Amino acid sequence: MTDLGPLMQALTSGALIGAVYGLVAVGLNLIYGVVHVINFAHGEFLMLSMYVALVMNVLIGANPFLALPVAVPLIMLAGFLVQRYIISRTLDAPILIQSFVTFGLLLVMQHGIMLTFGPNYYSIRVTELEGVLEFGYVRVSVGLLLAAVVSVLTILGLHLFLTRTYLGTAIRAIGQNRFAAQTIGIPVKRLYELSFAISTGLAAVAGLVLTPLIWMHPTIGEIYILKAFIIVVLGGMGNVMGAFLGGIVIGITESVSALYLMPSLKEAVALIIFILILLFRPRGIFARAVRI
Amino acid sequence: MRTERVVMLALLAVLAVVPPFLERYHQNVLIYVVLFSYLGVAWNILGGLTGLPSFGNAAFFGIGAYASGMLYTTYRVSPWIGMWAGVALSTGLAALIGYLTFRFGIRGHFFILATIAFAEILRNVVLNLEVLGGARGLPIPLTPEDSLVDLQFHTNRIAYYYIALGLLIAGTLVFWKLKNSSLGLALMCIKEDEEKAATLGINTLRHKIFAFVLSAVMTSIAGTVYAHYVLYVEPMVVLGVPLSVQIALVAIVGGLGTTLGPVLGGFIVQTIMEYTRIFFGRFPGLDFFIAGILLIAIALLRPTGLLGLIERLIPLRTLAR
Amino acid sequence: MTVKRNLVVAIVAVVVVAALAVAALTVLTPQRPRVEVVKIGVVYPLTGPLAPIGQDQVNAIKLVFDEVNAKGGIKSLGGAKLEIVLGDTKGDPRVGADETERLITVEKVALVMGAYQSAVTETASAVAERYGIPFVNPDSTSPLLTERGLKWFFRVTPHDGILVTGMLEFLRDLNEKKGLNLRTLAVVYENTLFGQDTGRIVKENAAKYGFEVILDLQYTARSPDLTPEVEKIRAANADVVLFASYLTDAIQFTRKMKELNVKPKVIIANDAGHIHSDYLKAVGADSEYFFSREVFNSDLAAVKPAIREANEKFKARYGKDMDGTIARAYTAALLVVDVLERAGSIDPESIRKALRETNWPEEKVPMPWKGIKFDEKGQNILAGGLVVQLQGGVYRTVWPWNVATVEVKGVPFPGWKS
Repeated sequence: MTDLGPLMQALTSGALIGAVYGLVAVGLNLIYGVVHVINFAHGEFLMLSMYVALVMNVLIGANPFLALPVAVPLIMLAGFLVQRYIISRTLDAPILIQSFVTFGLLLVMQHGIMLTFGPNYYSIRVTELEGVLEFGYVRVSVGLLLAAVVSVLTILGLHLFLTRTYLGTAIRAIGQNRFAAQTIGIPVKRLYELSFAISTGLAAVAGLVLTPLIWMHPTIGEIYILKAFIIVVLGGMGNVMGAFLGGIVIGITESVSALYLMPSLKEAVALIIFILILLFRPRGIFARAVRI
Repeated sequence: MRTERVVMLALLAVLAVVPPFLERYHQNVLIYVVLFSYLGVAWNILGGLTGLPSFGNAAFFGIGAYASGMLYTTYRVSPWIGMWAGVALSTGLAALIGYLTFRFGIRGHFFILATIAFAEILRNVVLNLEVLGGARGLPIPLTPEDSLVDLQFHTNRIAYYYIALGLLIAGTLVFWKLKNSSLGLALMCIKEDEEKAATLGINTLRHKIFAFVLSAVMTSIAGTVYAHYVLYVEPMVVLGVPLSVQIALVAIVGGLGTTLGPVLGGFIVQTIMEYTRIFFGRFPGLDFFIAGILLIAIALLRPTGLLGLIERLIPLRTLAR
Repeated sequence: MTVKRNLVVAIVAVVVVAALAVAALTVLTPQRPRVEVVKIGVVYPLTGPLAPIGQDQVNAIKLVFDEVNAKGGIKSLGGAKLEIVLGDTKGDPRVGADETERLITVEKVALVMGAYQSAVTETASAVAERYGIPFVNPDSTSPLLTERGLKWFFRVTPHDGILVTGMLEFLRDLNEKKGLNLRTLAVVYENTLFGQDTGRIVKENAAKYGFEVILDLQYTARSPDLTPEVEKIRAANADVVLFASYLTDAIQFTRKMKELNVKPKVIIANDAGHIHSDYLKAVGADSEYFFSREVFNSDLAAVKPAIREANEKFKARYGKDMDGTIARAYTAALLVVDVLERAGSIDPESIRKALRETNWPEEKVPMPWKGIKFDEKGQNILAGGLVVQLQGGVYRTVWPWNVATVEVKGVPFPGWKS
């Protein structure tokens, strides 16, 4: 029993945290699929929402989940503004320029927060979420379970939005052919702004559910964006369900490889997988799954 | 044409004559500025000329630093020779990465991501290798006196500056010659439209790998010089993403694809960042914050870089472009 | 066109002339005259995340020097006053080396003290060695620092080799005293210099003290999620888990171990993150009964007068108790004063001779050491470490038995409270 125990634990913990990774990757994917820009600064919006939670925690003692209704709209607004005033100017420029702009944005946001809050590590402890559920050998904290559940629900919500609503369908249309969509009378610019806002909103949700589980620091965005890139490539660029499944896969891979190899190499493992996918199946493993 | 030549020579004269009279820490900044300008020129070969921006050049810088550092620490091999070991390794790695990525048609965003991934893998591996010092890195043993053979100068630190300056001049000449040769033309064709270039009979794979290798080799040499200047090879510094970002920044902000763009970029961006660190070290992160703003500003307003700005004042016909 | 061109040539000419003028002025400006004061270079991180620690050290040194100056300065130098010249290392080895060089060549200090982080001390002391200036290191614990064959480097603190084997010695003594049978060890360390040193020393010496390392876990520092690592610790089921982590990882490990109900019989840390006050604030009572290696503990004031005296002076001026790093800086400052008195000159060779001849008895040292005496490598061989244990949320000294202030409790570890 104990022999299989650690593996079961690794699989469970990995899958749960993978759901959150998936949420981050879905946001990145949405922008790539619609606006056709790789937002290098995606992780920074995640980081930003964590700091909003910190401020609210310090000012009124709110826990990160209570901060949701405040932080998410705020971050969405930030995303909206970024798209409207910065990204929109680069839409007809070469890809290089777009990349540089979002990269510059990464630097500005990350170091801007560092200037404001300093390079210290902060953590918010939510004792209600520290309860543990036991399933035999496997133990799962309430906080992690909640994070995974919220992530899955959010992704589901997004999927329904994109497939069942008019707006969502319009957004998908723009992603497929911007000019044709324009001719039908779809307000492309407005919807770009909406998509960006949704994307950053997703990042914000991820940041908030992660807050009680880990610590916060201006560089936390980098860590998640790197994972998000790997997942997006794994799941196929522009593919929402693929990104979610890819997240689970990466979460489990990290967990299991740490169990059987030297943990300090787990990043190298993920990166090598990334390169292999990039080389051999750039459309992603799940290319046949539903496109947005 | 003459104006351009005059300005160029005057600047060169100032660069050659003034530094020995500056205070130690200004000299230190100048050495980094010159070194980063050189690194920007090297980056530009692949990034500006061929249109393949790499955010993983730190890998080759690190190889240059570790190769000569290791050979010197263990066998007292002169860095002037150790440099070539670094060059050989960088050639191998660049050829490998180049072949893998270009053969499979990776470009644009994906190329950026792939270069970041490769550099990070290298860093991760080196961190776990005891023989290279692991997380501690490699401290370079000191010589009691200045020695050209050992590339160590203690009393006449300015020698490092002249070596770096020499590298910069040599590198710029190499870039200029390349750009004005048929090889350079082929690379620029590939940047404009790779498919069309292929139909013209250009072996795009070979050309791209060549550009990658040349860029890597030049970067590696700078790594060697850096290691013997700072006298400590730290994996987080020489192989890290911030270094790759700074190199790319210098070239992009200065002027993508231009000869003197990176030099201008280096002198402006690097100077700003170094002095920000010195005078505003109390505010960690300010240097990259400013760099980020510069990057966004240049990308949005004048993608031709700072050199593009200067062009409006003085027509630059031959050398700089 | 012609107008524009002439304008450009004119501007260039002005710039060149101006540059040459500046150069000429710099060369012709006279040097500043020397002052009759003993300048002591002090290099620490004064900005950046470690600034509070750096500032504490500087304060401790200042406390000693100010007191000496008030009492008439260095008598053997005709009452010369001590002056601290600061260098901010920013926690970076390159900057630390540059600052040390500035202090030596521009400020002309007689001696340099610093630099807390082992990596920074490494480069800074290499600079001092090159110039033949003594470098007194109060607090860097990487063993390799005294393996470089340097002649001008003197380290006051015990190094990780001594401190970590001290932990193993404590564990063996614990076995004997309590009749336990602790045999298996899991060593968990971050992939930095500090962590790798700890891991290496434990692996090399465990067998000598009767332990077998069944889990060698190197992890990436500051990973956001350490669940896989803790799962590995859980699966290994070792008697003792030994950590070398900084703050955020220490917090994560403690939380995750509670979550996964990992209950080794003894949990012991190699100082650093597990000692930090922010750690205690973050984990609260969860860390009760944890052991840690330490170099100093405030409850020692009860058993050693030299420590009580030092702590009272520091507390009176700065409003808080000394910790291990502060106490070592204080001790090093006292040493520097003593060395200058014995040298009777600021000539580097005389200072070095006085350092080598140092032989302080146990009572004189405001640290739980047997004294201060340097071997040929520059290491203080009379220094040693402590083991402390968290009891009631406060760290109490439990080992060596002769300086212990309380009995060891909670062994084997009773488990996590809800």
